[in-house]
Amino acid sequence: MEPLITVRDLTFRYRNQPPVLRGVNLTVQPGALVLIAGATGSGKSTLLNCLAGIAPTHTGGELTGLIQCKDIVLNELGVRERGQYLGVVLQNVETQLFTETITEELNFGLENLNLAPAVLVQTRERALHELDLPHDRLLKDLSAGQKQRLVLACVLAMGQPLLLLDEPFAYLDPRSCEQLLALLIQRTQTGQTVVVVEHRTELVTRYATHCYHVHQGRLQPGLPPPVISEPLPSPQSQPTLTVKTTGLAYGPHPPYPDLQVSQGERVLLQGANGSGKTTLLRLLSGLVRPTQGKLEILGQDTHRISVAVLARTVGLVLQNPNHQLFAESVQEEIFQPGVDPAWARTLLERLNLPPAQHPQALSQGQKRRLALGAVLARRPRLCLLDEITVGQDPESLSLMLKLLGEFTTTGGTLMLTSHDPQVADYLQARVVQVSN
Amino acid sequence: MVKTFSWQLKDYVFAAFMAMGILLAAVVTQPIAQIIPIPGIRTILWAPLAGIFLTLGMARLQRPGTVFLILGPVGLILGLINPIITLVLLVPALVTELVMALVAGYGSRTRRFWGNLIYFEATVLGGVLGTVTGLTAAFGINVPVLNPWLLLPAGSVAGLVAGLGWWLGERVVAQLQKAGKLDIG
Amino acid sequence: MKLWAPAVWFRQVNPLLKMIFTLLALALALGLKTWTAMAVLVGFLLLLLLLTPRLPWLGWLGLGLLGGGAVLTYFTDSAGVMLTILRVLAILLPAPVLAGTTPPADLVRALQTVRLPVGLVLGVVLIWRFLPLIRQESERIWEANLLRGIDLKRHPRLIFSGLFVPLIFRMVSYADEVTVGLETRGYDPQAPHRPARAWRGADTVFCALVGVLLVSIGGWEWSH
Repeated sequence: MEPLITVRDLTFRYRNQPPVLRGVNLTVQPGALVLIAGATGSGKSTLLNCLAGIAPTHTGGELTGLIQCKDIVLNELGVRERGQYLGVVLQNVETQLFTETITEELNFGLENLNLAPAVLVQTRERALHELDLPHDRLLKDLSAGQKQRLVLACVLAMGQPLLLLDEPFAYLDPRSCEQLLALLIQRTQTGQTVVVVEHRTELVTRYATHCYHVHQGRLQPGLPPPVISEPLPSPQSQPTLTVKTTGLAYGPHPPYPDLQVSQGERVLLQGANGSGKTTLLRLLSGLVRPTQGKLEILGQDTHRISVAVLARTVGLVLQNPNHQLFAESVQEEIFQPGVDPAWARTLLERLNLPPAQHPQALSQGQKRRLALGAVLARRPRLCLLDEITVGQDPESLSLMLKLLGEFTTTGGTLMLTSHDPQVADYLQARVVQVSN
Repeated sequence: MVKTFSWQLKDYVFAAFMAMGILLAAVVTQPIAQIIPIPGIRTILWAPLAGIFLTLGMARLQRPGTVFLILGPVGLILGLINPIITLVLLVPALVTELVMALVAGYGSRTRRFWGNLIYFEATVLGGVLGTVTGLTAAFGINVPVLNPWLLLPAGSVAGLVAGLGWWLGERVVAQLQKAGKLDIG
Repeated sequence: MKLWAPAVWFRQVNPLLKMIFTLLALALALGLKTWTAMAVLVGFLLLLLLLTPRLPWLGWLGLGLLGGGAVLTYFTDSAGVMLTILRVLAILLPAPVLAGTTPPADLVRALQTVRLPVGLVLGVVLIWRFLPLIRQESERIWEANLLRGIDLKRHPRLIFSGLFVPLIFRMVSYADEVTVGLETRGYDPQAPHRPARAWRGADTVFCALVGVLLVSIGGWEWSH
């Protein structure tokens, strides 16, 4: 069978940098579901960007080698021109949506194809039906999973033979993951080819027809070897209670289950998207005030304590590390006023961070490690983590989890949310189900 | 050196995001401006924050037309509150573009300083003149519109805030360059 | 929210016609010399206001006009006071009526059909879509400051480094991602303009009403 995509001897380097990809060869048959894994910064997203035409057009850099779709050479085509051969779903789907309602959004893409009005309506209705999307819902009312389905609907409506997805499972709960997987499998059964770049390999492996990983710039068959090996010993919780909640509720939702978390404990909050896990962390950190119930941190009622004061004992690492980076260098971010310099140096080393770099120049994985380091530098008694494992390769994740393990063995209390099952296994965390 | 090629999609998008910053600056400062009864106070409070985004836009896009490209959508959107705001924003933008076209754009720090200065001076002085004209017409009183006691302090303050906005903007430009996030080649 | 029939009708009027009417009303507001003609214009605008979702600042405007009117009585006669109050209303009302009765998508589509430069139209589209996101980003950054023990309200000198710099980094990064996003959706700034919307019955009725309004205003203005 004639391959759909052929990549020959692809090498890519960013400006004045060593190559990120070296001599990559890849052949993809129609109807295949291809998984590409790899560590953070290994170059797997760069490979997807090269296929989509995003690199080097939008990233700068130099590309050599051949990228071909059937007998069409794609190298000289921009992102938009490649759109007739391949559809792309970016990691942050928000940046692919431009209107207010689902119908308008589908129209936006189809009008860009200059379709005749009758064909446009027909194509739009088919896409809405196939992806089970309501007609006139506002985009702002859609969940992350629904937005992703909408972008998929928009992309699929254009009818390209190849679909490229960049970490589509990153922010999805298990149910949304299953829905997305079912959809992708269905597309491959109709002859469409799907290439997925993903960290959460356990989700895709069983359905993928081919698995690859990028290591040291080269595309290799199979999955990368696991880095996290031995789980941490079970935490030795102490009698002192760090967190105690009674009938805690926010807004119109029913109260959360009452929590009692001891010093040194590790607690994983689990629940579907929108179940209120993040809100619970925001309540615990004082960012939002409960509308009902009582919250005690280290025996103190937090009702009258401001967030800024509570921050001396409670640290929260947000889902998006970009919101938490303020300094002009990594070193400055960790060496905050009042932080023990020896401890700050240890954190820099343990998290494998380059001290002189500008925080915003780091990779996403490094930024997450830095945000965690900046919180731990202040030596909080309670550390709250919101989905910080997203986008982390095993090696980077391992660095963070080891440090967090030590944090709890030295008396810190850890509460986190994560969709990643290996995190719970490794941390030996007590799982609390949240369903709001 | 001046970029001579035509506007690209990424330029339009960058300008739109700078416009968002300018709108946010207006949202933050206008409630405060409303309670201070000084002609031109809106611009005086708005300029240092808006100047950051204007300077950044000038640094990235550099070409003549940049100021209008950034402020055009702002003017159109604020025109939904009142079309007079569109004029107040865009006439000074046009004046700035005409003057800066003589030096072919915003490719250096000095040119960006002048761009800011001209724009905010024109906005403040235009605002003061407009307010005085409106008030004298409404109240039927005879106050000279070109009153140096009004224009000199307003012009000086506008110069100061424009300079502050430019200085803060250049600081952000330097940080973005250090982080490798701003290609102004 | 369910709208009553005339409000539904007014939402169907072509946004371009509403824009032209807004500019016309503004020109009249600045140009009319008699308070009776101005009253006809404001009366029409107030009727349109009934078709608009409630404007939260109307109460404040009323109070301001009463206060302003009281002050004005020291400077001018009652006709002058009436004219000034009506003029202010005629200047302030048209644009919110347009904005409140036009879905943003219709407005953008209308701007696209009048062949405004692509940069301006795309700018409006992107601002409409992404300004709420950028605002949300600024709220998250504000909160992140609180989480490190810094309340920016109490430390305004840190607002630049603590809020603006990280926010600008986010905006620059969004700008790059949105450019790619637009291209992946097939958007081409050089593509031909979209065709104008078909003329509807609501447009004819609106034009007729505006015609009647103009004739009435002209009558009052020139007969006095």
